[in-house]
Amino acid sequence: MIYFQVLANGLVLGGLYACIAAGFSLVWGVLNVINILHGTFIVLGSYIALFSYNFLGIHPFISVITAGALLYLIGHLVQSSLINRVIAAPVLMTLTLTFGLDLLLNNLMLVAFKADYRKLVLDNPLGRLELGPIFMPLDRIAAMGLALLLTFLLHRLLRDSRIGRAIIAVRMDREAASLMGVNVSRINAITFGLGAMMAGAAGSLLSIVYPISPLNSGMFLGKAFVICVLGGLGSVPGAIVGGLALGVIESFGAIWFGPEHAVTISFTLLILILIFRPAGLMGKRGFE
Amino acid sequence: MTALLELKNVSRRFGGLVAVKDVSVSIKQGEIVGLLGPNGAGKTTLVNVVTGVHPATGGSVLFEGRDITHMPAFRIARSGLARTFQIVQPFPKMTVVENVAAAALFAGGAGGMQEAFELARRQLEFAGLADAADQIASTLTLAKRKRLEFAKGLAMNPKLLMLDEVNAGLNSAEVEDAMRLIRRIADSGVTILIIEHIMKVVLSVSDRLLVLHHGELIADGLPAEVTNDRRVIEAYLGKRYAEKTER
Amino acid sequence: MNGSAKISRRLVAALGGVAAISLATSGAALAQDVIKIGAPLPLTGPLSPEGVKQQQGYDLWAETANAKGGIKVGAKTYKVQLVYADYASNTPRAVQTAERLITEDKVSFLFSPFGSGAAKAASTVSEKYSIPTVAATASSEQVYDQGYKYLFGTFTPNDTLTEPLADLVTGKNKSIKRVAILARNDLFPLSIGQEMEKAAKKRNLDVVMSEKYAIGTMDHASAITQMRAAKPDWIFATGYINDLILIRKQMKDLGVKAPVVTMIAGPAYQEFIDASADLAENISSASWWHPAVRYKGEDVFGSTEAFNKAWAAKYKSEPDYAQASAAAAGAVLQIAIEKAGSIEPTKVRDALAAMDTVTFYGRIKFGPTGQVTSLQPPVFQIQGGKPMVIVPDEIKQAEFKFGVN
Repeated sequence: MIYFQVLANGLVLGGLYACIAAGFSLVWGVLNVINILHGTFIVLGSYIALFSYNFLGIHPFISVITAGALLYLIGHLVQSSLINRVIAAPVLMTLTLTFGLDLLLNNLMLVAFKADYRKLVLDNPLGRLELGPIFMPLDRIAAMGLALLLTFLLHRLLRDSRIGRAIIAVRMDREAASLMGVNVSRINAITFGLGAMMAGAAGSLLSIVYPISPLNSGMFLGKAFVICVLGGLGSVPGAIVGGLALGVIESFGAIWFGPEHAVTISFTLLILILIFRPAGLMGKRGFE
Repeated sequence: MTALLELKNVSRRFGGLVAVKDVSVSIKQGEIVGLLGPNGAGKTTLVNVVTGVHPATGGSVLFEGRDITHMPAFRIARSGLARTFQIVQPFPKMTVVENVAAAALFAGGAGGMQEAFELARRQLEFAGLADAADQIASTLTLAKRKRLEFAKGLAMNPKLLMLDEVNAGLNSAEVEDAMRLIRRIADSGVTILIIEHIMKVVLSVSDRLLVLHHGELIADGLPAEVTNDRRVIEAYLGKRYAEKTER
Repeated sequence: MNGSAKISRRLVAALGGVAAISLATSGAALAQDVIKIGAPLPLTGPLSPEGVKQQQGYDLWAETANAKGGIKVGAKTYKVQLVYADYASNTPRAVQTAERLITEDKVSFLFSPFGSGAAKAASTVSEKYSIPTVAATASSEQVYDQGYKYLFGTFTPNDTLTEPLADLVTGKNKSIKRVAILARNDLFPLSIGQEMEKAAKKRNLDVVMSEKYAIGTMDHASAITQMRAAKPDWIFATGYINDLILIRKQMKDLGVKAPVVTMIAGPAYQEFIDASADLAENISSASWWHPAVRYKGEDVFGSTEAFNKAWAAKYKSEPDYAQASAAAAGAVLQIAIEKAGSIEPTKVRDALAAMDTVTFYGRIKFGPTGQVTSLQPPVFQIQGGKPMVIVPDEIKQAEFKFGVN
């Protein structure tokens, strides 16, 4: 009986995880850039939501839009001014660059906001949903719902818009796309911006669930990694499947092996998948 | 009338290797020009320089009177210069119509997704691929993939279409089909530069021939003249044969 | 040849100048006698809330002591100079930082880093160099089990918290039978979780759940789901302030209720109460000190009331046990130095070992392992948004309430 609750916990967590990973997966799959800044972008989104709520009374769900927009601009700028200079270099180069930029941004945030954990406490907490013996906190469900919606919108954007098609073309064959008239540099900047936007939006949603501190960036990045490997790179549906899978696995893993091993389990899984099915659960397909 | 495409002393070196040396060519609108030369002569490099893949290390390229020598590749593509690839590699996981629609969208001036798909279907009709429209591109036969290249190129609404080794790997019947398609494309008003290393194939179609050898232009003129040019024969068949036929 | 000769002459002249200046200024420094005390702390990182509290305690003591002239060593007085170093909540770095303070900054005494884990790790270094060390926030007995002579602690062992709690709860309510324990996998929280398990078993209670969670866990849903299924009467959760805020919230999310919910260590802090709002009501806890106690002592503050007042004047708040313990560590070190009449390490160490005195913080007598054994840790409960002392009777402020929703 308890397992229904555990499953519910896992799915709700999984929705949030999907949002964390979608932007990271897009940037890695399309630009072949492992964006170490992703975790810090998420935390920045959380801070934007926190300050918007505490000083302006703006609900975090609305901040999803503002944080997303702001992070898009930051991402676009960072890519076009810095990362684009080494975009053709091997992946280790860009990794080092994003690592360095992350050190810079994270420490700036530590200086500005301090390491103390803050909590966004809603004046009117949403309460919980009780379905028989299963309890689900409404704030998490709402966050998960929004997360899935955002991820779905990103998916539609990629499939149905000119920019989306260009992103997919660049992902498939950068040179061919260029020779077909795609401004690859601009697409790179837009893609990175979109990745940052998803991170900022995820951060806003997460602000009501987790404590907020620059120290969390590593944890978010680690989760994004595992989810990308689980779900397959560059695939937005893969991020959803991977996120939900990780949420459920961690949830059951904690019950069966003890909560202190939840993180160990997810990284063990990462290693196993890399050995046996490196293309991820979604396999090689999924250019959406 | 000003030339559509003009190359003035174009050179391209890769480190110590000079792949294209001092090539000057003028192509007029409406021409079908054949670019010949043995393997390794520098034909594909020349096309790469014109389309912006590698900038010229010397000389200049003008298209419709505008200097495009250092223009980025995507802008050149949007200006009306399209090319097909020697090693055909469409976007593998997209369907045939999606591939062509992409070309229409990015360079062909299609206003939106719907218009792009309409244009794509029209080009597929023209290229004789209408029944394969919804197939995944990587599952096509080689001959059909070459036609897909045509369709993609056309969907870009080009003024000049460069066809790079379209006949590689095709049997004689397929080659005939390809040549017929090329004539229809030319009839529709597109200027064509067709690159080959097999002389016979291209002779039937071209108004004019250019011959490249070790990166240099060794002949430029009517097909009948060029085929009897001593240097051309030497390049293809060796010095001794040239001496023999001359006698 | 010419060029390098010129350079080396300039170098000699410059060096000579530097030597002259430093001789002049060192003369000036010698005029002010100073006792340097090293304090490695987690000023950044997840434990920074706790690290900052310790720093506040040390600062108030140093200021108070210096305002009264400093520490009297025989005929001389020395000013207190605290040397802080941030180890970013990373225990291995705490050890390195402690060593650097001793070998490079040449501190004469050391205040331990935060928490049982880091204090134990760093104590090896201070013992090696024979530096008298006072641990203000290390309560687990394991910290003091290495037979070290130079380590002293101002927190009593963990069972001095769990025993009075268990007595109180079982004494007042015989129907409390099922106990669920969720502990952070870190030295102190795990240790006190284990003490609770011992106390429960001693009184024939059923331990229906005993689980650990990893350091840095951000989601406790599974553990709390397990907790709910076990239907406990008494929930005992351990961790540091951030963990406990999150656990309490998720308990509410998943509908977990119990007659008694005890959390250590966090509810004593105002931050916990502010972050948890209504959820803090009726949460019980225990700590090593509470501002409601009343002691008169021979330390530099003089009495608990005077200490509370001095704290409020500087920090505009009421002191909690960690802040008081840090200030007490300084005050106790001062008493030891003054009694020894010397700053020589062995003499100070002996004075600490022999100490039996009352301070604003309570009676200080260190046991054979160096840990203080003379305090009476209060049990308290959050009622109406304030921590109220329940035990000991002498300073009781309210009756214990059952029922946490």
